Amino acid sequence: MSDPRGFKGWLLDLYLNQEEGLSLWFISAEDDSRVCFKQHFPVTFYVSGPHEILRALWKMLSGRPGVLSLSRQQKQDVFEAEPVDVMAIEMASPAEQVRLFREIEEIYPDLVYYGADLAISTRYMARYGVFPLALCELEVNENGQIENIRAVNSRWDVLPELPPLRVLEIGPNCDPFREKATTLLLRCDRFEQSLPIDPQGDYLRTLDEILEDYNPDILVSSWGDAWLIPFLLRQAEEKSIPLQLNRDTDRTVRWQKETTYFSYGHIIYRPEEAHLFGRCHIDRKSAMMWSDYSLAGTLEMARVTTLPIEKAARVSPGQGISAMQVITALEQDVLVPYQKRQFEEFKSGLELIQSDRGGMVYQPLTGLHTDVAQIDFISMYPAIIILGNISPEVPLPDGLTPAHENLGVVPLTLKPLYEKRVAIKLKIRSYPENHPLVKNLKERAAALKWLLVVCFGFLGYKNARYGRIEAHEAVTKGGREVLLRAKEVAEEEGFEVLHMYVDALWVKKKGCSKPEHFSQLIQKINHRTGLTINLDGIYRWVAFLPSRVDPRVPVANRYFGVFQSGEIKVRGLEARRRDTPLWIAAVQKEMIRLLSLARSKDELQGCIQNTFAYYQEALELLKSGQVQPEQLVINGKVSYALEAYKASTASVRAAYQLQNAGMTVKPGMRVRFVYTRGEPDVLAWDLGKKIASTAINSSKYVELLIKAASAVLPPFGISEDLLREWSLSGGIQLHLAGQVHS
Amino acid sequence: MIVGQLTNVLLPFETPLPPKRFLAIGAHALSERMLQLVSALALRQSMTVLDCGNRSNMYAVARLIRPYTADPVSVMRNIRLSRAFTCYQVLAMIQATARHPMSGPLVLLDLLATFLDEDVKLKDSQRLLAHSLDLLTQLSHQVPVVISTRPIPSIAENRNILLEELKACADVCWEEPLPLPNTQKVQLELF
Repeated sequence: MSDPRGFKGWLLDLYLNQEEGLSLWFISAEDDSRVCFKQHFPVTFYVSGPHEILRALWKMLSGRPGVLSLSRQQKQDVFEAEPVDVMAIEMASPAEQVRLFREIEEIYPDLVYYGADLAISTRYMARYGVFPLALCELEVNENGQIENIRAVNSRWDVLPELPPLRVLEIGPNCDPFREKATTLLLRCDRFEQSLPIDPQGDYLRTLDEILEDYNPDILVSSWGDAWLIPFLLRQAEEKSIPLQLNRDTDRTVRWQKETTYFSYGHIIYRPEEAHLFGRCHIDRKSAMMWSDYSLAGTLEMARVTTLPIEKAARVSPGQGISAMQVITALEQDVLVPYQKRQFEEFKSGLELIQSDRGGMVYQPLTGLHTDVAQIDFISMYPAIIILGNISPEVPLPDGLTPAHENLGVVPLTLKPLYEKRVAIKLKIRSYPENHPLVKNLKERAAALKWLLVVCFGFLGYKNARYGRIEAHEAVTKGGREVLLRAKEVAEEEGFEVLHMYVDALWVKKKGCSKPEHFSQLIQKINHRTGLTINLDGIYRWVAFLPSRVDPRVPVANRYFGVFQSGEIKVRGLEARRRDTPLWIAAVQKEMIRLLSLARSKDELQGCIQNTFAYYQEALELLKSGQVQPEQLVINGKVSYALEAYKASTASVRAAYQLQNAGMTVKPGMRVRFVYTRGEPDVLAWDLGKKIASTAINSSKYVELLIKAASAVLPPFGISEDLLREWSLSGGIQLHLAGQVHS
Repeated sequence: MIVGQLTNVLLPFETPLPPKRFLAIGAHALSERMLQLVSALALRQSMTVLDCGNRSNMYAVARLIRPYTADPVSVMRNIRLSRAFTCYQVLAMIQATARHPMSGPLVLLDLLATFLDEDVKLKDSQRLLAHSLDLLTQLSHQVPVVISTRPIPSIAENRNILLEELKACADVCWEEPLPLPNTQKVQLELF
């Protein structure tokens, strides 16, 4: 037998292989080729329970094909004080492990299982330290089997050496759910091409050739999951034209079932997903955070979480954090529970009231304020978790002081992530804004930010393997403590605190309008809290808005303002909502932009006049039917099965239209519609019917426009009642004057 | 507030509650009434609440007891509670409760909520519920066990059997009457 040969390359894809264990695809670092190797990968899972049942299980499994070994071990369960007795079951391959686990769980459902349902990528990372796009050195035998593998770079590298990825973008020329697509548009670093969808299927032949010649690593599609790939496969079959989407030619496309789930207070629908073997398919429309961090962020997410690229693009950051925590646990030789059974510790009614609280909110002083600084703690909750060593298995801190010196699973997971994000942010600051790396770094920082954002919520999530409600409460308690300390410092320094919201403070002081005026305050807060606070910016002006229902009541986190840099910040307004029609959101944004042109109080009066004139024009356009219907589409949602609705909302009426037209409507799905005159009063946009501007119910949109404008204008002296009266009658003279708290 | 009377008004169960299994079924798992019941019981004695559907609003309880006591802190301390967010946790919580002798009534809020989770196979839900009900039966020999639940929603119709099993286990079962169908209000003739 010949000696194993060496190979160096980046790991692109890894998946189960029924015969040999695993298939791994690499991009060669030597000749740019794409190579697949196999690897045997025995895996172990653990079972605990009454000894007589474990004995019966041991008898059942002894000598069984696929079981490599059975042993009795002691392992640490994070929720138990002492190590637990477990039976370790070593299986020859991951596929056999999955089969056996299903079988014994059926027979012994009351046993406690550990490490039984782990993703293969997670196991692989924990054993070899190898992750998606890791540069690896391998030893491969003559049968193409990996004998040794190690990563030569780390998940935490700020500027890692990355492979020369071939990315092919592909999509139809229009929204295929509204219009018939006539052309496929293809684009990559080498060419751009339009393929007319012809009845003979020549476009399929050309596409197949492109896939073979260009041989992309990543297919970035539009509507790939829900339309493009099913369409291409159907057409190829009907026309008997070969089309090889996978790089692994032995495989067909793998379909992940559609799903509806509950996340952060929202019902989310995810359509069926098309997964490829040997190359990755990312559908922009299904990629959860594509608009936030694009491809660079998705690849960063895959690298740090070790989730396969296709999965990292589609799942929530919570799943990424979960995978990272599992790796930490495996690296620490801590058991990974299959079903978490840990419930909340018993407490009294009084203790529940004292502990079950959220972040600190200090209601804003409503109205318009000038020269206000916003200071934010950098990743406050993750920093508290790390500083306070908050983890389910370690004693909880007293305020911010850790009760245990060895970091638990959760802070151990977060620390390198937090440090990497800070390092990337520092790197961004070290480059000029137009540096070619800046965009890439910003997208990667955004991906890491999302992972850090969800880590706190995940501590309290019912299915989080390393979640514990008391730990979740300890974080918010720490947050409240930190914010109160910051407020104390600000007031000692003579600042007025206008608003506080979880991890941010809005402060002002007469004569303070430059960054250096806030340096001492920031320094003192950093010292008093042990966390890092940062000057987000100084507003030329900021308007804190009251409740719509009762103008005497302020609303936290509903404000807009303009920084000295000219950057506009908006929170809690229509322009930020996903269901607001594009045109209404654009009008509101433009109104704020026109107001933001005022550089001083003196210039404000003129800007208010211009803003109101703009509103007047917008209103006229709307009333005269000159706004295109596609700009008025409302992005509604159905959260339940349609028959469960007792009241028929506009979204539900539109959803029924889709259902009656034979389309599938699932809970969590977005339902786009426009308001129309007469009956029916809504039209589902995805029915694909043409609609004339005159059929649009403009009075509904006038209401929406008034609502949007009345969020912006009241701080400048124009009340909602006045605006409504004027908008609906169009005749009264308004006195346009702002009231500014200087 | 006279506890016996209140219990009787809130839920038509005999008072004082004897050591039995009481089941109350209604919209929102009768949250409001159950919290009133918890308040009434806590005013008199120590008691245990197992919250299986995130319904233990202790602020509401604190408000309810305030007019009836000069020492609300002690009354709130009479309530010993825990929350579970999956049916695996519900069983573990009941197991933990059953390991120690009980001294006062046991109230379970929205017992079936987590058993309706579609990520848990019906077979597993049934198995876990059966274990839970066995333990609750044992506990009901020591103390009254009051369970609330809500009717099975239409989207989980296939899990109706869980409610049937729960009903079969109860000594006393009360269902909130369904609201009367809407009747058209007719304007009386004025002239």
